[in-house]
Amino acid sequence: MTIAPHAGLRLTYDEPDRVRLSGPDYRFSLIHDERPLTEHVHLAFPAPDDATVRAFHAAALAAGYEDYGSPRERALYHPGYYGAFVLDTDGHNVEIVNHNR
Amino acid sequence: MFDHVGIAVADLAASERFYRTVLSVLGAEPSHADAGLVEWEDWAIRPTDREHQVTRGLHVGFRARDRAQVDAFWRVGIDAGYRDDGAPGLRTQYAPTYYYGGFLLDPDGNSVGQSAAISMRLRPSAMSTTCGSASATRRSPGAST
Repeated sequence: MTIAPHAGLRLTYDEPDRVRLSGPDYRFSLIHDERPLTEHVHLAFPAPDDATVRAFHAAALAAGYEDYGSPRERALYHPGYYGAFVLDTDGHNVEIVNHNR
Repeated sequence: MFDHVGIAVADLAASERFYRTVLSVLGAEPSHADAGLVEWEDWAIRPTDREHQVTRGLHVGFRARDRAQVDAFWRVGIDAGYRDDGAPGLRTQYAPTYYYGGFLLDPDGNSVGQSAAISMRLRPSAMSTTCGSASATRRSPGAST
């Protein structure tokens, strides 16, 4: 929820065992049920500009999430690739990226 | 919503075969493929390494054009020997009228269907944290964009 406003997501379902966030044409749900926990997913959300990438990263760190890569260009992916990474409470690598294309 | 989603797989060749088989039904072919990464635009699979352990317990949905494409996706997967995680049909528990999905398990046991959605399962403690702040967000719509 800390990063949702920076990733263009809004809350569309909110019950104790299921939370759903929706973007323009996609849904993302967090669930608790009897099935095994999800492990080791990498999620990346798009950002419209570099400032949003920095705001996402700052908001996540201010909320206590672990840094997994500070905002900067990562030219090994492609020139202009500007991303930042944090780990969520389950250790998933969550990124926000502006491709500057 | 997602720029991209990536998973680490126990056997890249086996998982590449699975995703090539089922995603081709949706008209998707890899945009990049080498020994370290296979990508279908915003969906990526990679082998495990010291930093990337195998992804488990994920549900991912790919969008189908129509119900016939859902049927074909599931049938192709079953005929290729992949494990069933739910035959094509309406899922009224997800939406009253329009959610038509079919589900397969990928080689690592992740559930793959067609709902243009990602679901992740969390610990109860993480869930309550998430829900608590989610409610706060909902009460302050100005805080979200």
